[in-house]
Amino acid sequence: MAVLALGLTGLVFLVVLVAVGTVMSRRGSAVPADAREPDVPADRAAIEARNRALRKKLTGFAPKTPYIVIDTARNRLFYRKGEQVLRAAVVSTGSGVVLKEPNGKRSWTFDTPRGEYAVRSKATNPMWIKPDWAFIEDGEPLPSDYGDRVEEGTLGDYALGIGNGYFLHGTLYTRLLGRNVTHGCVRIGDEDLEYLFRNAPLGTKVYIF
Amino acid sequence: MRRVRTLAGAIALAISCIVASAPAGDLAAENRLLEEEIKLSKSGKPYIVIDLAAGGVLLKVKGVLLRTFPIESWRLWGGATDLRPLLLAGRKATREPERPELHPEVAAAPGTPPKAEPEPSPSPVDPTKPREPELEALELRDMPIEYYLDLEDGTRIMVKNAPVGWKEKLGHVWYQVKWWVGSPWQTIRQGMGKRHYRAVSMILGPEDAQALYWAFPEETPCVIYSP
Repeated sequence: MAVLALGLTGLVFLVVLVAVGTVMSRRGSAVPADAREPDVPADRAAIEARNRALRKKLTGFAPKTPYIVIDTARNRLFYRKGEQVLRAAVVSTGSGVVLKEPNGKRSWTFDTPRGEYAVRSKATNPMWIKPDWAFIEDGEPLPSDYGDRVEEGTLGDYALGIGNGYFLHGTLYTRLLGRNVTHGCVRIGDEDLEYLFRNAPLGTKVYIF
Repeated sequence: MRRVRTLAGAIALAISCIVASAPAGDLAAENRLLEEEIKLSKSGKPYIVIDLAAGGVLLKVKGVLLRTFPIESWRLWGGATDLRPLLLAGRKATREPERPELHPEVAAAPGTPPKAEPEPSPSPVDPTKPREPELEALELRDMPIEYYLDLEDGTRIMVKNAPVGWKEKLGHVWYQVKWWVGSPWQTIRQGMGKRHYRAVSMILGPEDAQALYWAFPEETPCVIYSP
């Protein structure tokens, strides 16, 4: 009997809680009725005209020329013009790994940076100037001679720089395309890279997410 | 008879007014959304539009749609938003993804031969084939499927996949309880502090839920556009 009474009390409490909460959520809305329609004339034609104008203004921000979109989650690259996909490619992007220097204070996070970038440089047969982390990751001592940092062939036939030391470049490890394995750069297969190199001029916008 | 005609005419007029004004209201709300998108586009940073009316989460930059995450079903608690962009303040998941850490050994003495490079392979990846062996990497599959997104004004977005199998269906019952009991509770609790509680529940496909978590880092502006 006591259990039943307790259960009923609990049920009543729940019903009251839900009822009060529901009423409060409707009455206490922080949004005034006209908050969604500020400064808009009531006239329908005017609203439609404003809609057209706003759409045009928003479209004005979008690139007029083809641009590159990189999806780091799916490791896909799209070369697009407006909504049209001109080329799609499987790529490799940042591994997200954190490298910690042994006995040191430095650490690196191997993410592909996100946001808006642009193709700022283009190079054929690029050479890789190995940064400190490349040696530390391999457990090698840092070279005293700059020449020991230069490595040929690793970046493939072409490289498109997007700033801050990040590149869209080729790879020797094509079987890892589609995986998050890089130190932040975007690795692209030979044919897709050549297509991009030939078609994406300097200044091409690059959107990475 | 005359009264009936007058009444019928009044009802017809009222209905026509409602029909004519509803789309204009929608358009006005859309204009408000466009105004906010224009402001966001000036920054050049990605932003999220949770378009409940169209059933999709849109990742955009400068008005360009980068990716759509389809919403299978949704619920809104606390009424429509004022379409003001809100920053993502935090994400909560039962199992937060963790970055792998590399702790290499101390550099070998000069003259030691370097480690052998991995064997390159000429074949590109085939998505239909089994996945490669485990890599030290943070990947899409490491992202949670069920999680909360908390916006700066206290709005909570609950994301999960549709339940498959009895275990998930059982878990979904708990999820429903949290929604139907937790939302009124939060409304009362926050109402005491003169704050309005709003929540959105979204069911996404499992991979879309993971991809949204990936693509929606903290500090990203978000606009909730509801019908």
